[in-house]
Amino acid sequence: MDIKRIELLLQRFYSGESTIEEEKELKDFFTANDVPRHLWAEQEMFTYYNAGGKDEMPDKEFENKILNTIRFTNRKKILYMLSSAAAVVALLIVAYFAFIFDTSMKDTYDNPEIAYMQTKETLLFVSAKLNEGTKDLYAIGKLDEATKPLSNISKIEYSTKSIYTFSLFGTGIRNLENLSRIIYQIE
Amino acid sequence: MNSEEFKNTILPLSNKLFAFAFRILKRREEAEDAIQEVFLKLWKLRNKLGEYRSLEAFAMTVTRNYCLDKIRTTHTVLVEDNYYYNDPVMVDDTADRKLDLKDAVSHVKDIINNLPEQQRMVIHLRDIEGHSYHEISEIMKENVNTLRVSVSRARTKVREELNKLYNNGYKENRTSVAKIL
Repeated sequence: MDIKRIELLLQRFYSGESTIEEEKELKDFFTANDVPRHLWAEQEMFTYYNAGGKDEMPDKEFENKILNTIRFTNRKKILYMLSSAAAVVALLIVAYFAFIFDTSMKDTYDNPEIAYMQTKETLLFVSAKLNEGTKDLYAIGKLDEATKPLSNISKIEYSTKSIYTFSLFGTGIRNLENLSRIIYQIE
Repeated sequence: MNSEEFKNTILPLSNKLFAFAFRILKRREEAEDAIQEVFLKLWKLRNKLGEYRSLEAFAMTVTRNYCLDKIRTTHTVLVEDNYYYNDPVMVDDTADRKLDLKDAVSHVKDIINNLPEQQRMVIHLRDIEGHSYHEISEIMKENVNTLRVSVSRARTKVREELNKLYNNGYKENRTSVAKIL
């Protein structure tokens, strides 16, 4: 191709006047031909443009990733709707039972005397059962017996006290040293 | 639009939308997150999508708006993942240049990423994706003349920066050869 024509096309290219076809012509020329050195920069440029930025493609799995994101948000939406429906149903059930069960107290005895006796009897029965349960706990007191022999360990202290008296010898000897020094000076 | 139609008409746009988001946000991870959000938006709008003349242009507009919002709200200075901008181009007279260019990580990408947002988007849509100015004006909500000016500035800047790298690289190569001799 005529280099003059290329120069002309380049001029139009840089001024932003070139058409798509002219730009295609430039791309084809620069990728197919050896060019003079002063056009090497242009050659690199058009080679890059011609490749269509192929080094800037996403991974192969990108479409699947997108589909998963869409599916996930769809599922989230459905889950959200379902959970709010479930919450409403639960609330209705609770309200229904609260309405049916009247929890206020009712008198079951006509005579208060008999009612008092009955209560007392019941409480006594409960306390007796509780005491029965605590009987087994007596065995825990036996733990003390095991620790008694350990009290002998405290006797070790007596022996260490005697050892302490030995250390007093040291001070005695130091005093003797001082004495000898005094004697030396006197002499 | 049902989910099957959505899968067949909108989902295949994901690569294109990703590339556009990547150009604006400069980071792969952010671009992926952005496109996920964009697709959720499109999915919610699926029943109205039939009203748009060009679904692709509409999807690109949604992507553009989302990405620009993201930049405005986070106020982060975006630095791209890989950055080769400052490496001078080593110009070798003997190597096979066409093959070299095919394999090399292009400086053009870094240069474009350093352009202002508007120019970055315009150059992406025009020179890489090959959209007409009419389509670009629909996506960018900008009139065609303004876009042409933007394109012209961006292209000139790319050439200028590339030439700088080439001249530096050529000089450096010369001096290193001279040193060896």
